[in-house]
Amino acid sequence: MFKHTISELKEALVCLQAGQVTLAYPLQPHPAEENFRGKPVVDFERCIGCGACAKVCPPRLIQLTDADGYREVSYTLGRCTYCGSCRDVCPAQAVQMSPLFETATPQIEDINISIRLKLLTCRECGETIATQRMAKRVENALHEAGYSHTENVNLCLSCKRKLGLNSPAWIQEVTR
Amino acid sequence: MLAQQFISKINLNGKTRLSCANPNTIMVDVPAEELQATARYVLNELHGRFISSAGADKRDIAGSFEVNQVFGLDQDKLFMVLRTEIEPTQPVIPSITPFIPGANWAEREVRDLIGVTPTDHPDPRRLVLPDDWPEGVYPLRRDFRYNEHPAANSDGRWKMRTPPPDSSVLPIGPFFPTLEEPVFINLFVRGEKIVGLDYRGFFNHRGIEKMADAELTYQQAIYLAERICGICGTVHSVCYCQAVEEAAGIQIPERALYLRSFYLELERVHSHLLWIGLACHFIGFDTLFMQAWRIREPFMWLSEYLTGARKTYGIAAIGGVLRDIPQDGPERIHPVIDRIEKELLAVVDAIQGDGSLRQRLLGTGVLSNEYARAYCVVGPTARGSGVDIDARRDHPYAAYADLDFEVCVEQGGDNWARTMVRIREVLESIKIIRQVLVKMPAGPIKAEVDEIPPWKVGVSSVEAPRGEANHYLLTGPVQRAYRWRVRAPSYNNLQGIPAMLQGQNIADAPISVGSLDPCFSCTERMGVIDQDSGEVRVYRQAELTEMFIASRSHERRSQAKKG
Repeated sequence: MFKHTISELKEALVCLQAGQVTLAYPLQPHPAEENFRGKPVVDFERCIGCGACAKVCPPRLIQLTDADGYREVSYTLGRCTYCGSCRDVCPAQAVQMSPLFETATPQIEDINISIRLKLLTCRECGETIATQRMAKRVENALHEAGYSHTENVNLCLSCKRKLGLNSPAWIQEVTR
Repeated sequence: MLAQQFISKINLNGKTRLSCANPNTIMVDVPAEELQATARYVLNELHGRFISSAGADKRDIAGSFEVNQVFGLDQDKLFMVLRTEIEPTQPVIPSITPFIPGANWAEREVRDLIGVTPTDHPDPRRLVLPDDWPEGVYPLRRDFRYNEHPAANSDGRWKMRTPPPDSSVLPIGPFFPTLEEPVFINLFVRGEKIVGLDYRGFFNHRGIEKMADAELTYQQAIYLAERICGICGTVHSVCYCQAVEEAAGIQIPERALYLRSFYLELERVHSHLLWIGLACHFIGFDTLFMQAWRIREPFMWLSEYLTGARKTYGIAAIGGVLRDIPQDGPERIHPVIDRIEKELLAVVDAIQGDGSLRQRLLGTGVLSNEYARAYCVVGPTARGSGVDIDARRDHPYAAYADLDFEVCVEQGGDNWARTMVRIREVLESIKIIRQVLVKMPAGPIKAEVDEIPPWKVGVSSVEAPRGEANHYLLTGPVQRAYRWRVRAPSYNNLQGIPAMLQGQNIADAPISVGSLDPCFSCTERMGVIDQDSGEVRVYRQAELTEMFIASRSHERRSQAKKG
């Protein structure tokens, strides 16, 4: 009995020492930690429309649709699990995980993201090759590596073959 | 001991064939008629512990079904898989449940999902599939599409076990009142005493294994694995990565091993503190519920800072981990874990003499050592009953072989013992976190991973806060798993409930079930048993809503009368 009373006194002490710890949220905002993975945001200027994010996204909410000379990259963020795979894989550092966590909305469109990027078509056959920004990126990379002939970037693979511009076997192996 | 060396010690008859899947796993090809004898041999001579059954539909590549019985040889730090090929024309397999009660659910699951029926099984009812699922449709067969919805069989009804004579039925669920999770337990009671029970779970089969086998890549499935459990997700993502690494023979950098141990212990501390709070809530001791969760909160903020999320850390990757501890990490980790240790010790000191707590926990929900072994329970549930198993020591993974920690074992087998195991484990985990921060070598955190070779087997265990999680993985030809079987720790712990509640008072049932720290999933149907006629009536959601509204308006009327 005596032991029980001491125990209860100790419990009371624990509670008193702790005091009030709950916050008056949302009146008193509580920002997330700096590394927090919140709602993904996409920098429209940086996105090159390569679709790497769409390949790795576990809930497969990122869709690529090519139509009328444009590629649309759409994020249906209602299904997002905030894993950050899209950020980790983005070659253009266009995706960032923002600290936003208060994303409740009555309008589902509010949390969806859609980017339209102009497509590059083959100068011979008109087949879609990639987005113009992707081609630009390849061109820049070639320039940086010291190649000056970048005029064939706007040719599709089969037209390159037809024109006898076959890439060496090892390149075919990697780009397959 | 390596699997290769161990094989020479095994003395089985000539019909079985032994091979090594990887350095930790021995594959034994057993013809169906030899399965029972071989399983007995593994159990008695090799001191094996049954872990799970994994069925696979290999008709398109080998023309047969395959049933794998996974055993852990804890003394030798090995896994042993008894692989039986089954002819599709006669899909039956001798049941091992009569002498391994813990295999009960696993065998029924193989029957439900693959369609290989265990013969002489003591409880041949459905386990995983819903009652209105059509007969003869097996969702984990390869020819069943992942998004297929077969027409419901409206005649399907759950066959409840017949209650013992002179007993009444007390239904708990389908929403467990204290855990707020879906499970349906029919208690058979005489007065206040529980004399038996019937269990129906699996109300929401999420099709996680099917998604990973049919649609997702190895990389995507990691995140799916992480979402198997809302509390110990990292366990499953790491366990999945380990299974792939085992299968493909990938060596991962040492720093990544330490980081995995670090994040896993981080998870154990928060999970156990969560449980301590919940357990007190189950018995109406809400003061301690609040205090345990208060102590836990700074830890959640720390996790958010270290990994980017309070939960679902998202750190696991095949070949290592994705995120290192930030530069100033240790400076932030030490004050938080020091504070948790101090505050937890103060609380433990306070509650040890608490009369009401002791009365509710001491001597209730006793699971004897014998039953704990028979039902193959794992984790704190097993260790509370004196079964000295811990995957961190018995099947060393991550950096645990280099870390110094105690496996906390208590002999009581009651709710008090399980509580003590968990409290001690929090303190051990804090010790491990400190060691990791000191011992962790510098270096890369992720190995380069090539393509995963097909038709390799990986078996991996991770000690989750609830016990050993085990993943069996068979790699497939198109960079995704051909078959991935997850055995979560609660799967076996829940099978121990009947033994645990036998002879207990009704009032102790919630805390006893809660003391397993179980994980259930979701439903919206409810069965009520009329105690006079013994008839089972199933209410639909609309009827329940109507009943609820009616009872509320009745309440309001009677209040108005009083006013």
